[in-house]
Amino acid sequence: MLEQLETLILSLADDELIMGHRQAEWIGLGPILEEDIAFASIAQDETGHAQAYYQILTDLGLRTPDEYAFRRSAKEFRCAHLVELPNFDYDYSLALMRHFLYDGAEQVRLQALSHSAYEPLAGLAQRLLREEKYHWLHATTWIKRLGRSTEEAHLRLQSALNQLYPYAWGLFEELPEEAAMVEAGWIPPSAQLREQWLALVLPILEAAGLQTQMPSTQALTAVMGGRRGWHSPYFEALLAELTEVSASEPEAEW
Amino acid sequence: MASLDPRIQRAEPELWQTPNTTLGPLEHWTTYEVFLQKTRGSHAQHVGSLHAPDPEIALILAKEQYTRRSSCVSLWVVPTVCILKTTTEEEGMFQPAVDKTYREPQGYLNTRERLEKYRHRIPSSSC
Amino acid sequence: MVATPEAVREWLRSVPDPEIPFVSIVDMGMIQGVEITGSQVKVTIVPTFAGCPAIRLLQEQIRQVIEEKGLTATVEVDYAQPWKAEYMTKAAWEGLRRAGFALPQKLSEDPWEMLHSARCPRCDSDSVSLLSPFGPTACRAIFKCHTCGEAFELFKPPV
Repeated sequence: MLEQLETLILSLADDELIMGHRQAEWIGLGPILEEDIAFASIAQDETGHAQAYYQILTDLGLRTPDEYAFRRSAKEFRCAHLVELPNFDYDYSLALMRHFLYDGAEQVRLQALSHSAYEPLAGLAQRLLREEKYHWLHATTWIKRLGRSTEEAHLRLQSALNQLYPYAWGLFEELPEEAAMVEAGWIPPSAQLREQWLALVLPILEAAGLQTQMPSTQALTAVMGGRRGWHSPYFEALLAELTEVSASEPEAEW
Repeated sequence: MASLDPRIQRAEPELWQTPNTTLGPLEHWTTYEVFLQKTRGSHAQHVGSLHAPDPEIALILAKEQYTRRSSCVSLWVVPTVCILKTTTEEEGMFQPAVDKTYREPQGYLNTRERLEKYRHRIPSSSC
Repeated sequence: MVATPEAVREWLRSVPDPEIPFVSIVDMGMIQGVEITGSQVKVTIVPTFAGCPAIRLLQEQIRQVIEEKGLTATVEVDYAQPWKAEYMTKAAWEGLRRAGFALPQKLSEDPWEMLHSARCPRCDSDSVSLLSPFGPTACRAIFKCHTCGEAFELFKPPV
């Protein structure tokens, strides 16, 4: 049971850690100073959330947050590919769309987790939801605003959506041995969360004037694998950068 | 000179276009003044300004600009152009021509002390 | 020259599958019958797909191989029974693997089930997604591996 709990919590925590890292890459490069600060602050929140999730495992006698973040091989990470994708050519519409799709998933996931039968997780989810409220407000306001702004803004958002949508499905990849977790009342089935997520994000994307008709084979074109330790070609490089300082002085205390 | 920041290197700045120096209407964002209410019932106080394309986004950005290092209960944003202000030429009208310091509140500084001092002169203790 | 059906099958190993040239038509299980009457050989083939456009080419190649041995040949196509993946020999599967095809984890009558079981033939990752359910031929689907970034084809035969 402990092993399954670790799988579940790492899938949540690793998404946060890697998302925080990718968003933090925008620091100093945001479109305007004000937005740069807001986005950096959101990135910092996500990293903090990862730490809080890892701590649950530490409290159970497993590894420490630093060990989870800095001393694992790529194969041991359980994050989805959506959060691993690089910022490519630093187009802010791509950053905003990823932020929107991801934070929509967080809304659904945390709502469900706040009723989890595993109490430490339920308690943490309730606390995180308070901070996530701002993330969600930030994401939805920008998407609605830009979707109905200039033609260029609209096209950029649409192409970001088309690119990221199959990856966002990967956030709801079935976890290994998920049936046991559902049975224990820890989480609802991933497929159910995915339906709730679609019901949340699609109307907002449509309100922003974006086209949301996706291919009927989307379950097959979805980018899965992260929850089972299969990562994108970008992940090794990300991990090398993330762990560079820690690896240079493994015995140092932070 | 090449940047040492890996993020900048990845973004290949040499490929960036020279910025267009004429700004379109949506690129020239307006400024908003931000007012912050520390606790319920207290006055909203001006804390600074920021750029935003519309009032909603101004509120969202104000949250991180002005409440990151301290807490508050509510925020206001007002387009800077909506504020009518006096000009520097009018500064003179705030300077009194004669000594009017008696109007200023420091005359009431030791209220409690003075009250204690003169309390015995009051016939009934109704105050 | 006296030929046996076994010998004819052996000769026909030189005829490759027109779509998957790493595997012979014999290993693909397309040769369903060989009958010999004197110097007359009658070969019955089952096309992997009823609409296979390479049938005439195959008939011609088979005839040539047999006639080179000094016999006369007729090649008939049996459309009455469908070809099945279970006709394929171990050598056929091995040939496909060596040629870089992904093979389904298990054969299924439901083609979607086979599509779901795809794994990258290069890095074994199961983080793959479907680019197209049909590739250069109807029995191949195109996938992308998200771990190594390569595209690959899944062999999904009719079952």
